[in-house]
Amino acid sequence: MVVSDQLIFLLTATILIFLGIASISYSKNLIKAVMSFQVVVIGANLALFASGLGPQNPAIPDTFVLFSIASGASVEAVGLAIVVGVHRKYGTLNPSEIRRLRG
Amino acid sequence: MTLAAWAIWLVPLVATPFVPLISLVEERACKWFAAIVTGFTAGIGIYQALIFSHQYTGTVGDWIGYANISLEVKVDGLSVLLSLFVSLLSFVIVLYAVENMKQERSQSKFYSLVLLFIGAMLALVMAGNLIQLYFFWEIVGICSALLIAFWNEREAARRAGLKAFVVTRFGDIALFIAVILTLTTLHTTSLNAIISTVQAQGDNSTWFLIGVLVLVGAMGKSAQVPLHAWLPDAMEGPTPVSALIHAATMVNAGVYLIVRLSPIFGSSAILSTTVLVIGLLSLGIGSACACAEVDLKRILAYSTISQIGMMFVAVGVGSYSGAIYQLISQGLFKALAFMAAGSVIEAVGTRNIEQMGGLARLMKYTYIAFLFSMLSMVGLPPLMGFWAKDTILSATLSANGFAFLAVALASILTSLYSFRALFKVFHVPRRLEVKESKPLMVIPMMILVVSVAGAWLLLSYQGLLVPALSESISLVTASTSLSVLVMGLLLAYFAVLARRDPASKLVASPILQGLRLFLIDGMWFDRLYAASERFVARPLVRGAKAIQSGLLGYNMALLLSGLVALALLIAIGVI
Repeated sequence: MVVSDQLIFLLTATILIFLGIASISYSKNLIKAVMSFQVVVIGANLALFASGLGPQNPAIPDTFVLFSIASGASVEAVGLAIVVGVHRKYGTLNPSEIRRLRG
Repeated sequence: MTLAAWAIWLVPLVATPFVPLISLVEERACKWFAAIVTGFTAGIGIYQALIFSHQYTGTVGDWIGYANISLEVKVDGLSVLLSLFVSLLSFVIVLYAVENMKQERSQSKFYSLVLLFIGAMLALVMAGNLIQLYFFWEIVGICSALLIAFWNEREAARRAGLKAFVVTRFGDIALFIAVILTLTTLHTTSLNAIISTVQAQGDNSTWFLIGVLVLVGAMGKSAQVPLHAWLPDAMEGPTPVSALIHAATMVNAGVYLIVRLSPIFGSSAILSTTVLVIGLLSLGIGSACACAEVDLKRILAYSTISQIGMMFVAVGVGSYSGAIYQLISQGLFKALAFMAAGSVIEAVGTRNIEQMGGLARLMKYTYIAFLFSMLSMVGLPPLMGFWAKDTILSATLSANGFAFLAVALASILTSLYSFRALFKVFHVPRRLEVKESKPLMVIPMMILVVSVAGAWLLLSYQGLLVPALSESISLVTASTSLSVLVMGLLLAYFAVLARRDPASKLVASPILQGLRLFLIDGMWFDRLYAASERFVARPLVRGAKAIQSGLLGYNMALLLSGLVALALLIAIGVI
């Protein structure tokens, strides 16, 4: 099996996404959850970038990745602002103590 | 020449974001901006029709490169005719809306949505590619739902918008599956390629499945039984929206799609029979419900369902030109009917026809508009409705005797509810203090009166309409359509205008009253939906609730295990 650059990038991206989701699942602090969410986003960006590697190598995936990184930063800012709001309202950042979203 | 085919839909789409910007500077200016843009679009439509000489497909490079999908416009008689029709009609209706909607607060919301709708509708008509068509198909659906719920402070309007969105979603999902199936079997979604492949392969189980799915999509968009119940509720929207979207253009998109893919439907006898049956059901149910309804706009909505049912009947018996002819004719007279109804409703302040009457002398121009619309709908020669109905009747007569009989019976009902509405609104003696609408509302109505009265001259214009229309009329169909017209007229006269006779006693009999309540309730289709919600959707919701623990960690762990399972399945080669 030939291990190309693309495959390495894609495997790394997969590992990042899985790790990110797992750490969102286990973190006891919402700020850490937001940080883990960023790990997932980075994994997705890496996968997008890796999909553009190849013989013809167009610039479109790179553009998308730049765009995604920029919007990801603003998503993180909003997420942290929500975390602050949650802390003001509930006085805790432990997600297992906040159960308003129960169906 | 290619430029016109692109510009006609790109101009309104590009103009859409400018409407809110203009309204920031001057709120009143955006309606005139919308009128200018639609006027320009109508100009392009006329230009395109005038220079049209041969059919061709314009392509722009790679739209979605790896899937081999390019942006295409298909220019042929059908798309040129329909884009001319849509662009002219939207110009007239936007002019009407300038006066009709001037009291509304959110002008920019209204006009930006209307422009987006017009652009998407024209793009749908010009699209030469199934994915492109589906894209704009969804945009017109969203615009429709948002415009139904335009008066969003009203509970009924919000519910109606949601209902339209959810019900048409069933059809849209089916159409989406059809698009994906086409892409996987053909590796292209270009309409030209689809049509040539179907013609080469003939009847084939894959194409049968795609045909069924496309049909379900068309039923949702065109409000055919049993996915029709959203259209009467859609009348909660503003009247120009009802005229433009829910009478003339968007609801016809389903018929357009079926006619576009006619080789699929023509190649299979089962499919065309299914289309015929659905058309007959909608024709009957729509016209029966319209006979009992007391809300003026809902009468017109049920009538739209039944008239589109007629188009489905035409498609079912293989008369595609008849369907398109009926589409244009229905669009013109129904838009006119809605404009007249909007004028009446604004003057009287209610939509209940029991509280109207005697308007014939007070609102002369509105009366003329409504009269011409109804006369065209019942098919009085030589108005366009007569020729359309005649084409469909002669096609059914030669294809299926039962269908001919059913269409003739439903035409009696059509004539009955049209004259009932006309008599109740304009002739029943009642003293009302109303005045004719402003000239800006009357002028668009008069433009449409002229087109309804003169559109049959299009018969002679062979470049756009298909040759089958020029066939001379046969005695059987002409006498049938005239006699059902007179029968409906007499029924309506005895039921509404004539007093002191047994008719009023008959109308008051308990059986007919029960039937009336059943029909006003929309033949219990809403109850059917409610029951399906209770027995199908509720248990699903309960099941979904169980996995919503509200714990972030728990939910994410479920997601993670799902991903791992998917990865394992891919790794061992199941998927």
